[in-house]
Amino acid sequence: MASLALIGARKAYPGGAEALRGVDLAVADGELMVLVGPSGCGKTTALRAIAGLERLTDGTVEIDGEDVGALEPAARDVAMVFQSYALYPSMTVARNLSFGLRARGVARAERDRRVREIARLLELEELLDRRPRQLSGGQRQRVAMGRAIVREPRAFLMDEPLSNLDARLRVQMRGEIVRLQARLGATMVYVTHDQVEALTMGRRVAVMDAGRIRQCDTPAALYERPADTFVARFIGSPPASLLRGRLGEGRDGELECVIGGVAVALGAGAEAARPALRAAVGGELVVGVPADGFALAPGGAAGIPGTVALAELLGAETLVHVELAGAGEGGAAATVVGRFGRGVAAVPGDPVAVALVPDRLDYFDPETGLALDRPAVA
Amino acid sequence: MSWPPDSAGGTPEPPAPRRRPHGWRGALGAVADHGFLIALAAVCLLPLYVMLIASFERAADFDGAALLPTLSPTFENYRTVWTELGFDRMFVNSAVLSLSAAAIATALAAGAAFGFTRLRFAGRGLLLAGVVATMAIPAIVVIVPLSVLMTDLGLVDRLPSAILAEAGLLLPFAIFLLHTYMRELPSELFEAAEVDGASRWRQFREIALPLARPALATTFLVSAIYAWNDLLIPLVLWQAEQLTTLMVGLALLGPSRAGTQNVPLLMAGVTISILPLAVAFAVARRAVVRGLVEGGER
Ligand SMILES: Nc1ncnc2c1ncn2[C@@H]1O[C@H](COP(=O)(O)OP(=O)(O)O)[C@@H](O)[C@H]1O
Ligand SMILES: [Mg+2]
Repeated sequence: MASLALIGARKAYPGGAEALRGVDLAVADGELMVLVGPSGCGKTTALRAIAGLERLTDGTVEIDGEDVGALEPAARDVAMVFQSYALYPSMTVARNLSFGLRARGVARAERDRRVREIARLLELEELLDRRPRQLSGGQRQRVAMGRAIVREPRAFLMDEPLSNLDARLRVQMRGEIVRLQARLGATMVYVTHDQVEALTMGRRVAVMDAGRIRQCDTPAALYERPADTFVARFIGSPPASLLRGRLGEGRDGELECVIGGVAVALGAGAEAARPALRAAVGGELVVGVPADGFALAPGGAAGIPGTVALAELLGAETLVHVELAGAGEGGAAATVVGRFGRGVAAVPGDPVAVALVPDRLDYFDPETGLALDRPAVA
Repeated sequence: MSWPPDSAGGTPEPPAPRRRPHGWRGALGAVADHGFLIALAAVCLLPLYVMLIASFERAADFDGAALLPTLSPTFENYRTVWTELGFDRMFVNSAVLSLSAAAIATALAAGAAFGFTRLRFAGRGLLLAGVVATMAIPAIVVIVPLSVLMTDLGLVDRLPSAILAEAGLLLPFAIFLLHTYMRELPSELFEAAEVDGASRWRQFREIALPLARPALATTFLVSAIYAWNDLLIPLVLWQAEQLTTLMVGLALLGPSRAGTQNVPLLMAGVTISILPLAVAFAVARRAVVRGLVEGGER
């Protein structure tokens, strides 16, 4: 196995689409890196650039520290699992599995041994004589994985391999891929558009948007300290709500934020945790509130006044959508979503007061969208 | 029975598919439709029918306007054409010309079509357009230089001359047809193969060719039929008696040999020349239609 890196990677497709706008991504030997982002943000392009199927407009691709920009895909010796699986329709499962070995001139006995081993590992033994069209979606997915693994490549590139499966199978396969990756000690870049999948699978997750990596961090750090408003809005189900406020000082000199006309004290710990806040006093702020950063106080009690818009009971918990007057951009209303226990009293149309949990708040610059207490990301 | 039947679960039935209204109006419509198709088929088949029944007439009895089969059919015309007029050898010559020209054209075109779809090189579009444009050049335009060329090469009246010329004339069409098909094959298959380490040659042989089978069958068959029916090339390049093809033989049959035209004899010859095409098409019809209609295979 090997380490992988994209350094300052740019890709402009003929016709103008800029799929990568300066991507830096380093994957250590044996690491599972998850690349997540909305559709069209450049994830597939990034994988194809590593595989050698696209030439970068600018920047370099490194495998094990060596610049492989001039190498053909075959010479890079990485394996890619395509979103469509791209199984060879005219070949049986066995021949699909052995194709890469035959292409690389592996001797027949060794080939057969490895194909049998992989078939056992992925429970494909019964299917070896079938053709792709005779397989279910889950079986095709396993064949595609097997075709990658059997070659014992230097790294695996997986492009949304579970997106064509039903929800139950998807959850099951997530776990299997993580186990497999650990067992093989494989370097893997795993692409998905599903942030839940990303958070559950990755030790490190790179969040991508519009051709840039916004943040590359552990799942916990992405959730607790999002680097910008995009990450805050992308990670978490439901994602964080964004409110507009003005940062000021209370009578005792403690920081407070005025949101929807109500002063919310940020608590004693806020300044210690986020030194940059002090410099922003007097200016506008975007406040990120994760779903568990709200407390509901029915009628009159202290908090930002609002109206319940919707209450969704999801088994053990309830998601409450509340419309807060004057808390959005330019004094518009903002709808926030909070997560509460199942017993919460929230009836659509009722007035409520929403309190914020100071420790759970994030602060962003309204111009750049970057978190206040983070160095700017290039 | 009521329609729609009451469904036990109370879920609404999907709307029934539109059908032809029942009753005499529907019946009349069906008759009209079928009548039209039958008439069309009759128009197409009439010449074949006339040809067939004429070929079984005796020359002496034939008055030139037979619409009903004769009561005393004879195989004599077939026997004469086949054994005495040398149609047996001509049949073999036609088969050799048609099958080898089609095989060569299909094989070369498969490689060219793969190159045009999978290789990126400067001027690719222009080159393809140029190749396709040559389809518009009729054979009659090139026959004289072609004949001079073959004479210079000392190939006239030898097997390769007509075969190569025919294959060359078929090539643009064959490239066009196969390219149209291969273009639609999902490029991820070839990219996956590239990442897997497969050479272009292996991609061509193990992925493109098996997937293009319907198109290859179509190309081969259409080319073979064209070469089988061609008169000009073998007439000019295969002038030797032992290289006469069926089409050349048919053209020479009749006025030049018998003085007065022996129509039943001619019809027997034509029937022999059409028979293999009919058989080939009947056997391969599904593959051909699939190749012509389908863009790609998933
Ligand atoms: N071959 C191509 N030609 C032109 N534009 C492309 C091509 N492939 C992708 N793009 C564009 O590049 C952007 C990123 O695409 P892609 O990497 O496929 O995104 P993702 O995999 O994250 O959905 C999109 O805007 C897409 O339209
Ligand atoms: Mg994609």
